[in-house]
Amino acid sequence: MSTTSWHCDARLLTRYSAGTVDAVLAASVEAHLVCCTRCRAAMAVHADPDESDRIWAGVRTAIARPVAPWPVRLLRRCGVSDEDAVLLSVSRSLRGPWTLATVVVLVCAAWASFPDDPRGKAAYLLVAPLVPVLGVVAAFASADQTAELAVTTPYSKARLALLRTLAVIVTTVPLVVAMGAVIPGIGWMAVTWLGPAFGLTLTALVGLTCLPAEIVGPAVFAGWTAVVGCAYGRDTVATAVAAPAQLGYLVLAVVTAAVLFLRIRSTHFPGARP
Amino acid sequence: MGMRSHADPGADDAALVRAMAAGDEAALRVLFTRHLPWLRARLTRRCGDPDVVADVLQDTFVAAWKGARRWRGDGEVAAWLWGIAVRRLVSRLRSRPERLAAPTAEVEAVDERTLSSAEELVLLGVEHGDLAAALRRLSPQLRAVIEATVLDGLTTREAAQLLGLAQGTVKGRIRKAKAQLRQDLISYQAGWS
Repeated sequence: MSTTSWHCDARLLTRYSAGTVDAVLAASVEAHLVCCTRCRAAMAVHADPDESDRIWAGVRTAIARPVAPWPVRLLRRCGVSDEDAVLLSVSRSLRGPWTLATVVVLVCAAWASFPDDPRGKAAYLLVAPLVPVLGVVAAFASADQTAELAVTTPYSKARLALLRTLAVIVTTVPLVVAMGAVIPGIGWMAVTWLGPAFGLTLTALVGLTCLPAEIVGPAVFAGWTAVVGCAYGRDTVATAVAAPAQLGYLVLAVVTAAVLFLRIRSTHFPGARP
Repeated sequence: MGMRSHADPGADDAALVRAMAAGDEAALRVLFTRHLPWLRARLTRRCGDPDVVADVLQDTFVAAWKGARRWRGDGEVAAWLWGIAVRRLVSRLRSRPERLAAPTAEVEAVDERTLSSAEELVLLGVEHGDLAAALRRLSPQLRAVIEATVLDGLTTREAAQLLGLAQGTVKGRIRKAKAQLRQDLISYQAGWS
């Protein structure tokens, strides 16, 4: 569908491909190529067939890939590599905790919104920090349909744990914060639960690097229940997230993070990143 | 080459894009084989890193596949593909501070002298006329800006990202280049008569 009566000769196209024509001439060639089928076809001899095949293979892979769920796409935006994102998207670890968090937090939020019932707040405080923890633990429970895959994948378990934790936190934490923010009377508790949540999640992670999920989950759950129960018994649950307690969670988080870091460093599974 | 043995290698580009919109991967393959070489050469002139160019090409055809349904059906498919490719390149380079073989600077000195074949002169005459001479007199910096905005059809913002300049600098250079071209073309006409 050429509208011009002349065409680029082979020598000119060769020089253009080699990048040895000056800018103005190159601009002419480019303007011509856009509307000339014949000269575009003549450019084929300047392509590297191996490279073309590689690019085509990449195109095919990309268009064959199913659209990832939004948390995975979000993670990919945050810098998680494609392989990791794919591994996450085939596991149930994203959908399970999401549903769990939605149901549990909704129930607790409804309960906590009765103004004169301190048990509502206690329930919220008990449940909110455990949502990410349970999400992480659930990702490792043997019911996970990708368990076999995870076992045979040349990934360090600690690294996988971190990845899944990231996924769980991305999906659950904003929800729980949002829920807390719209409940009247919860106040700062809508945010302060993040302190214990952080410490507990890291504790669970450290536990998961050496113990099965069936033990770690109940253990963390029991520990946190004891803390909230204690505070509730003393008269107000808010002390469980007051400043001195927050300092404790911070120390817990720092210590467990250090342990986790060391465990990952000392685990020389193939695929483990230093 | 065996590459074109798939569906309907004779179909025109517009028909291929319509087939792609209907989910025909063989049509994408034909379009890919047809347009990859020139797109690659054109991108290579704007970015010296072959890996980046390969990535951008891949993204371009993936985007063309996904966006085939949105193609309006007017104008050249080649121009549509280039529009996708150059914007992919811009967004790819945005995240990298080191970029671009300076598109024109080194080769010119040689080329001013080798520009002698009759075809080339005709090509220039038809495509740009006396504008070519005026363009050639622009400094490489000014010409790069004109190339990006006028020939590649980028916005000043995109051109700034492609060239690694501040947007204000690009605007300033466009203004300067226009003034210089206008001046040049006027004096050319004046000298003609």
